Amino acid sequence: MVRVKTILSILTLCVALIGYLPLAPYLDPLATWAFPVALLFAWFQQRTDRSLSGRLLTPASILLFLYYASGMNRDNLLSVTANLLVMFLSIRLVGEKSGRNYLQIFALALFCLAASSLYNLSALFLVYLLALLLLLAVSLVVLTFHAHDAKLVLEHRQLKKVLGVAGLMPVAALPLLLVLFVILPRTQFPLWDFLNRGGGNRTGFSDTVKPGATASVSEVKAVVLRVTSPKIPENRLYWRGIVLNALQGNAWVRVPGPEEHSLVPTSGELIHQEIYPEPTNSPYLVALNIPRQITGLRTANEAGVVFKVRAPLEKRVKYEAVSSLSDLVRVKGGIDRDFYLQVPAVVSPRLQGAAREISRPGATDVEKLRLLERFMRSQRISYATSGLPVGNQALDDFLFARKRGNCEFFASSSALLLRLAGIPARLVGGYRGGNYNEMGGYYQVTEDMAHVWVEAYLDGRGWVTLDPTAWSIGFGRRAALGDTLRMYVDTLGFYWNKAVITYDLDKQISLMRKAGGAVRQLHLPSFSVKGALVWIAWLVPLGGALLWYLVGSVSWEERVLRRFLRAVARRYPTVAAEHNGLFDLAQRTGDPQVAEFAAIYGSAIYQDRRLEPGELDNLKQLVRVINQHRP
Amino acid sequence: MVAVLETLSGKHLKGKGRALRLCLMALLTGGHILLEDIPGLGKTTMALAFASALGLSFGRVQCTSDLLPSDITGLSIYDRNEGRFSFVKGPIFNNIVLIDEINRAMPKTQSALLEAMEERRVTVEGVTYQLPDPFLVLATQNPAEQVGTFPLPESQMDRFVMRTGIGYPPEEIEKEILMHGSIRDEILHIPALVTHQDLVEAIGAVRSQVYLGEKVTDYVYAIIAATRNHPLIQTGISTRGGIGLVEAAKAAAYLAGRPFVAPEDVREVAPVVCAHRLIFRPEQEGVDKEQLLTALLQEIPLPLT
Repeated sequence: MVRVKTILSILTLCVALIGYLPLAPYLDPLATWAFPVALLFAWFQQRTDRSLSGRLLTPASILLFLYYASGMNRDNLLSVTANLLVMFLSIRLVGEKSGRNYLQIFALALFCLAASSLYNLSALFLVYLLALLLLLAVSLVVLTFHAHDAKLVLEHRQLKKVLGVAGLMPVAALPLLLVLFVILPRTQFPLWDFLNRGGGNRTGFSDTVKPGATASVSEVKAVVLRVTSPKIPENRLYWRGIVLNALQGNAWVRVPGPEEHSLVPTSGELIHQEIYPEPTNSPYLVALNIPRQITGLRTANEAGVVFKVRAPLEKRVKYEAVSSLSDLVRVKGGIDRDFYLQVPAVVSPRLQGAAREISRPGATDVEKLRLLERFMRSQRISYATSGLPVGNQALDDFLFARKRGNCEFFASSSALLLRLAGIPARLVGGYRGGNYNEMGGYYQVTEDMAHVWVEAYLDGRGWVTLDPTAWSIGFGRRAALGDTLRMYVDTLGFYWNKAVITYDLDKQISLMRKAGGAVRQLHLPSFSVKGALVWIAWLVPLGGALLWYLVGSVSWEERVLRRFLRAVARRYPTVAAEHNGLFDLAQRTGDPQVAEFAAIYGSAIYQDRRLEPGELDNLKQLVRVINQHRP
Repeated sequence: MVAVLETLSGKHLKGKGRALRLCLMALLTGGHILLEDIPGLGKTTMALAFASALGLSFGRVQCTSDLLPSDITGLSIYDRNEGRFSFVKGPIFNNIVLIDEINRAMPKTQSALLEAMEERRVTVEGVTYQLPDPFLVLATQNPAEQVGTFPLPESQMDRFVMRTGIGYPPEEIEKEILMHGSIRDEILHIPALVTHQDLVEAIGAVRSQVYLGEKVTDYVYAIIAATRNHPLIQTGISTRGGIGLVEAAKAAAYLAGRPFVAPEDVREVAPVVCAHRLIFRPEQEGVDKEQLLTALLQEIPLPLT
């Protein structure tokens, strides 16, 4: 003969222990020791059938919460949460236990286990998890027995049957769980924006730069790629995609050029990036300028530090890149100068004049670059994406007449001038800038950030990066970053994509851990514990007052009276008419409990004093008794 | 006290529990009671039984139109042997005085009587005599006969803390009474159930130990205010009426064994304490005062919190 309550208590202790064990090494001493003590205490309580009342424990939990919350900042969010969970679990263990309390213990144990996975994930976690699931299933079944009749006593054979069936349920569910675990995350549909995703038909940066083709450039905000990387100074945010090495008529294009052996400097800061491009029809891979290597996809290295894949990236993929934050690409063995000095047959006289000004006799290459910059700045050209010069003489128009243009004009004209001045030059296409998502720790690069800049070859040094657009008036002023909400949504979408693309168990788990990290990196504006406490000190009384107002300032007396009247009305439907006094009721019902209630209640109310706590308990007990004896 | 009540109403005076209770309340508050009912319903019997059960002296005055004040208070008679006047106490020098058909007496006699009730002393020929304590006047009034009567004016009705009727006894009890005949002799031999000391203490307890809370005071005031603002009523309950109500309620609470006044006590005594104090507008004379008051009480909620 075994009492159901005993079984439930033991199961509950086991569940709590499994919640605590994986978390134990990471707790502070108070929580570490509070739990075993509570466990022992609960064990003896179970033996003696006693428990502490909630009146003592609820204030204790509130105090604990305040104690831990006061020490909270965004670096120790996880540890505070873990400690609190364990403390709450301990308190629940020693408190009195109704069905609800058992469920709370189960939930807290699950949370504890989940919290432990943020610290450390080993194979042991799976063991704990399975054990907990099994125990929980059995406990819940036993709990339903307990809820039905708390004093139920089972014989050994009955008990065996109950436990057997209860244990069978989670075991039977396991295969289903595994199937779901394998199948479910393999969907290719992004959950967040599958309704309006714009992938597939996007152009990315173009592989032809032809200034003067259109009068305006539309600015599309669609995301082109997301790059996880540390934060980089804004002026180094150049994402290199393609190198345009030849000038055909007015257009810069990429032609198979001479072989050259580029050496990206190993000095300088190396930035590791994980790059998640949106589907595109461009075969060129984009990475932070200047990429040293790209892994994760099969790529072909082309001349001028360009990485190209065989087929455009129409599916979601991911690749990794290592870049050096440098503006110099050295070339081993020199370059084919003639190839990079080709100029169109027809160049306007004003352009040639400008080139002559730059290529002053006796000037070195470095001086020529400086002269070019001085020339461009002296023209006072403003950056614009509309009202652009058009036609064959667009560059001439841009430099000397309209004096407005976008990066294509700046880069093309500068490169042309450099070539005219005898310096090998080429265009580099890619993106400039990026919105850093603090939460996800990644850059979001949108289509309107497409950019073109120039590389000039200096003898003895190599290809030097120049951004002529920076010499314009009004460039660099970007619109503010997207609103915070969009950033969060984007982060969620990004993580979803990442999970789908890089699906494996390892990544699933590290995603969870990243989420913990992201929470830690949450950027709260000037958050301080002191400020928070001040706020709490303000808000708690305010909330209390509001609650008081809403509840209608109902006193305990009034509450217990209402309950009493309801109970009497239920039990004596014929007697309890309106306008009856308590003593009236007592007399008419002839019920000793009603009479006792009237005596206790009346002696307080009609003698102008509040009910004492003991009296209140008495009254509640009486109401309970009245409620129990239904006709 | 409660035991006395139960013995009396259960053993000797069946079916008069309510009237007895009210009499006892009147005694405990130190007030007087006016019984308004037709003759022959046992008013005198009840008063006699009441007096002997409490071990009190009993006096009776049968009012007629030629009754003089000295017939009630007593008078000085010349004693020839001693050669001086000596005062002979009238029937009012008893603890319980039954004044039958008070409305038959002349106004002069009535007011002398009422003065004695109020002052609890009698002054005859310059000498003041204290009336015994406790002192209760049970006056009866016959509402049916109007010829040759001097109805008590409302101002004098106010002196009585309660006015009530006895009513016919229930059928069973009346049949029993018919079978056994009058019990007047039996009643004269009821032994005293309480001592004089007990009674005085009880009166003191009602006055000083029964607590009247704020909420009940509010309730009493609500009743008074309601009578003052009622459209049918010309004059509502006076402050003296309110005091009477509170005292009667205290007595009721004492009899119910409570050290405090509950609103139910007030509601129980309100009709008998207040009804005769109401003065209706002339056109509404026919309305029953007790019924109106009961209806009025129904509309005032009991204070529960």
